[in-house]
Amino acid sequence: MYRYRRYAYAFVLPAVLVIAGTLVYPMGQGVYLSFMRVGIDLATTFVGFANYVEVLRQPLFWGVIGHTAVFAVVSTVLTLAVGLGLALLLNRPDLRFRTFWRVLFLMPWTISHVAAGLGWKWIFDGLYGVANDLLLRIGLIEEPLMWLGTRDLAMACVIVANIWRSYPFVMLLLLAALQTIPQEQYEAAGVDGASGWQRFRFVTLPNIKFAIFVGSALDFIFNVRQFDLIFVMTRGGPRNSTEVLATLVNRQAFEYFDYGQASATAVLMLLMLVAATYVYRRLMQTPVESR
Amino acid sequence: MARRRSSSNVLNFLVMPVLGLVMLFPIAWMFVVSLKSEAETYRTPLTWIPHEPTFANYVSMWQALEFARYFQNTLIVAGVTTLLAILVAAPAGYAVSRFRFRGRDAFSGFLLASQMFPRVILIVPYFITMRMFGLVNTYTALILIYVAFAVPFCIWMLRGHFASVPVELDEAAMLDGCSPFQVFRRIVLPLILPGVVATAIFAFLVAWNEFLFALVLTTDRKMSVITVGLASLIGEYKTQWNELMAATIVGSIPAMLLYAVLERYLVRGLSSGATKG
Repeated sequence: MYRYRRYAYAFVLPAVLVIAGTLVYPMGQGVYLSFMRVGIDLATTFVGFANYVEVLRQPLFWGVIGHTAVFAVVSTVLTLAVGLGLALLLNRPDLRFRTFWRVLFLMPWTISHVAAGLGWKWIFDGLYGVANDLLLRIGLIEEPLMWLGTRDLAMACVIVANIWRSYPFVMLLLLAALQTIPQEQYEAAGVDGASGWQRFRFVTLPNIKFAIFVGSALDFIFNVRQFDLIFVMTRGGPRNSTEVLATLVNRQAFEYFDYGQASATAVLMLLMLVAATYVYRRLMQTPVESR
Repeated sequence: MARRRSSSNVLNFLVMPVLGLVMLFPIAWMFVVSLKSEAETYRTPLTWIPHEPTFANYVSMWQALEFARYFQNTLIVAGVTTLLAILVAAPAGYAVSRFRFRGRDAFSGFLLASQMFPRVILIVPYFITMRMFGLVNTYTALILIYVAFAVPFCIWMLRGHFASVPVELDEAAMLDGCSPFQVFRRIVLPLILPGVVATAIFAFLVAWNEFLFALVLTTDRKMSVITVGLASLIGEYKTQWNELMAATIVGSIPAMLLYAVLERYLVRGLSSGATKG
């Protein structure tokens, strides 16, 4: 194939052009705009770091960082727990109708975030929601709650909906990893008289460590970027309590028409995500390398 | 042995059905609501099984919510996106799997990284550019953006499929006088057709479910895709949730079916990406 190397460029050229024109260039434009003041007529003036200073000085921005962190961290941890639990169950040799269950548990992932958000919004409705109805019937609450209209509850609700929408991804990833574990390792552990927990701790876990790392890192990134679900369920409310970075950028751009500030916030978001991913990689370095 | 038998009974007849019920409940509830009349939707205490189930919402939503229009828009945008994305990604995937060329590793790395950066950084540049070119409220704008999102992961997926075809086949064909383009189009591409179809379906689904960019780039109801059309209804003065739930279910069915068909393939695709370091 060596002789035909120069053909490679002809094969990749269309893709490179598309990616350069529709991803790389606009990204550069986004960074560029973060240093500009953009008028309603789209005329730009260079303002240095003024947009960044303005964004960083707003108390709301720091609140939004906090909401994003809570939303992303809690979602990622609980999604991993649910995904791992279901993957372990689906991998049990004595499970019947395996394909049926796998497809069934995959379903939440197949519907759009918008559809999931609409469904959960109605479930958590204060007057006609089934969440209140159920909890009243079994006596866990005495009065109907305004789920999405109460500050802390609203965050809990969007997290629940988000976990429900995202666990299948982690579940499938871990299930795929579980299926590659050689049966002999369990047999050897059985010969050594390992208990169920010990088999999980010393055979299963080391084998799926890398998948756990990849799955939760990707899930974390998806959670930090999450816009659709929150926008549909709460629009960032009540009183900004579920406002996250993605909804803030959208608000700055299309409610306040401050394209410069919106771009600055988006760039800050990118930097924070890169930093978080880097820290996470460092933290996971040892386990991943010793896998 | 008896203990083992009873623990699998607990698994098969208690644990899995209960968990299945919990996880499917939100979708099941959407379906229940979609079968209710308006009066029953807004009656307390709630009925868990509709007293007078009706499919009326599934008929009325096409007109009343303009759902027919959204469905058509989404189909056009997602369909054209899929076609263009595969057209651009297939040769690139072939090149990455077959040839060593300068910049190949950087290119592959960028493909992965492009799936992870926060896309909101693109909303302002896209909006401004599309407005300058008068492309707000057009299919073209959405198609361009979705192709941009789909091409990197299509290349990534197709690369894996091309790699599964032995290079010796290409070499033999070239000895017989085929040009690299002919080898690609006549020999290797037909061999991985199932992989191409699966990749195409993923591209289709990405476009089908996207919301943020469609929201920003459509201001005219007539050009709304399903996600934007449905989400815009909740701000309305009088939202009929029974009708809205029917529309949400119909809008989700294509994706649900495609994923269910692709399920086996999904596990395999994920495992090749996640288990190899």
